[in-house]
Amino acid sequence: MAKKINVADIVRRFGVTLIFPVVLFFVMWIICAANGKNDVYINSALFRYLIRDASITAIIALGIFSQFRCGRFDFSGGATMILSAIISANLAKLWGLNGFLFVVVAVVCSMALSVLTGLIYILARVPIIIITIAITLLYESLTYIIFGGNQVNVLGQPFTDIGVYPLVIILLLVAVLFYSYITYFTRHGKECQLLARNQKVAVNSGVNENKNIILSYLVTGFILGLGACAYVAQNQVNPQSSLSTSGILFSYIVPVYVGLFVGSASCDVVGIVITAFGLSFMNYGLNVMGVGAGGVNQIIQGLFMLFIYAIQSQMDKIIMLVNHVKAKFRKNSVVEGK
Amino acid sequence: MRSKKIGGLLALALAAVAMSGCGESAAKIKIGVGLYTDQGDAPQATKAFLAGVADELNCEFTYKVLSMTDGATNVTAAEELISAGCKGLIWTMDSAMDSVLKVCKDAGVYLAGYLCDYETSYDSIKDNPNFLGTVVDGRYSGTGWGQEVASRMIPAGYKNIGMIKFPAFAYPHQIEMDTAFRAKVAEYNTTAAAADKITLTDTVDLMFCQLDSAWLAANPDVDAIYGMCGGIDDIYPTLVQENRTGIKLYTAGFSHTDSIVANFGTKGTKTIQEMVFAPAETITYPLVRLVNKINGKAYSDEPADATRVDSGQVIVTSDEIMTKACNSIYATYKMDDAMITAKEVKNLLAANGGTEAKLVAAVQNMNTAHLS
Repeated sequence: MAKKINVADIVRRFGVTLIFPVVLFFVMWIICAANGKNDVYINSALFRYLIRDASITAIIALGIFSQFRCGRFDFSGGATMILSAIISANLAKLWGLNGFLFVVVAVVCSMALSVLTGLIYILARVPIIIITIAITLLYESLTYIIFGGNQVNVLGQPFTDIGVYPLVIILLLVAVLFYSYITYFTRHGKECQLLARNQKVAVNSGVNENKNIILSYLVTGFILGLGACAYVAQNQVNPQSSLSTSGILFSYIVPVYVGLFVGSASCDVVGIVITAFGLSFMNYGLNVMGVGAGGVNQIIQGLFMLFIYAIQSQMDKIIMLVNHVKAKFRKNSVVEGK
Repeated sequence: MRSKKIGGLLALALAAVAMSGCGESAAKIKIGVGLYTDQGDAPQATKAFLAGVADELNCEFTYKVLSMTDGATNVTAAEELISAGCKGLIWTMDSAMDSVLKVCKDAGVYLAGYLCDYETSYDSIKDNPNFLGTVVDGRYSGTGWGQEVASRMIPAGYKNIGMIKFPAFAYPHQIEMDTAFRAKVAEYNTTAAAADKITLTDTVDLMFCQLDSAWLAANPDVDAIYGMCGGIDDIYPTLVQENRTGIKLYTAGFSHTDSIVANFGTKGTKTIQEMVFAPAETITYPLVRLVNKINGKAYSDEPADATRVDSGQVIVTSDEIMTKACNSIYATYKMDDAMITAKEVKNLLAANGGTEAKLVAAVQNMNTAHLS
């Protein structure tokens, strides 16, 4: 018998997830309005910023999460993305590519680099953190060699339109649909989850780990290729060294951790994307308040993360407390009713 | 007997090889260059220029990347360069200078600055015998520069100018630029017709990151920006992202990437109207001073204390200058495109009749007028 879909439950669950950006939007609005900056916050620039910032953040966060969900913490994603961005932007310029072909080149390049990472991991059998740090250094060194090691600045070039407002949302939709399909509707997605939970048990129960690694790196490569398009369309890209690409990648990691919590009521992918939008409200609000960067910004961001993690780790106790209060309230109502 | 002869021949051969090696290493002056980064035009052009003068000056160069935040890294870099046989250091970072100069003193090595005004340490190091002075990235005082930019922006007819700089703790002289620019505009406004008056925004400090979109939203009427900071990296990308390329940008720094060239001056979106940079050839100042000192020579007009010399600047304000700048060593990384030849650099040495006045004049003449 087919499982009956409980629409009300789905709406309730996704509604809980959607509360996160709504709360952040109103909190930042109140703060900005209280400081006389209402007109700057409620402005068309907010919408542009939201689409642009949340899209690139969510795409790259999904790229990080695609390995994280398989139980692997991959440092090389940033190097893969930056190297793909450099190669694809230069080739697009050289060959006069349009936006679509630029994306295709970036995705193919990123998938090739990602699969290479996976193959090296399989062959070397070295812990993933060590091997991906080594690969990061290797890919970063290539950024100094290819195309003369020059800075890539293709801002405003026609082929980069796909990576900026408003078309960047297309890249996000492709990333979300592709990743959701792979994660929730394919055998590979289920196997990733099994491997992350218990690698030995998963392998013993028939999961082909090597195949899973290659497939998961193909998926990561696809998403990071989209991220590379958005990144190079919005930023100047310099040759990188000393694991700086990991810094670039992990600057997008907050939506992954917060998104897992926010998405616990619905699903991971929705949580990550929604969190990216929520954090964009917060970042824009901080920009309006003039603390978009620097020490104060770091303190606010850090405290916010700490607050979310604290709630996350104490969730059981919070639920118990809520249930306890509810029960007490119900008991009092019954006594008063008598 | 035969073995003794062979041994003798071998010893002679070894001695000859060793002596020829000694001769070689004694002849070449090894100089360590501590750069603030190994990316971008300035480091690449600097390396190309030094490679171009190496033979004429009989020098060889070794490079290290210094840290902006970690003084210990810079001290270690100095130690490593000295261990590698460097007799002189060209330094771009004002960090842990007392320790760096102590390392130099202990090893009998000299240090001269490049693209750095040593603002925080200058008073304590200017009379240090191992410190030979420095050439600044442009002008030491920001006042003249602020006035000069104002004199170009006011006649352009802008009504609302955005003011953006780096924080004062890192770039103290940008306050002088800001003040001088404001004074010049205020002076203009006293006589200008009401419709022609210029409004300036409050100056915003960029914390070494891109200008945020909210600033543009908060200043919707801005028609030009005076970016005292590196606007090519930190302001221009935001203008493109927010589709505000109608705003004209006057900023420090230089880039010859496609996007910048295509939108500079009268081209494309005409967003970028002015850029400025100190030519890589200005490294001539610390280089010549080091070679003099290492060779035991001094200028007839040798300054008593180490001096802080302003460098020439290439101010890119037109398509024509942009084309010339793109064909300079700063963009091509070819010695043939330098403003000064290796022979001319050699002639600035004390041993060849050079003087401090000639050296300073040469470095300050490396400017827009001398682009070919």
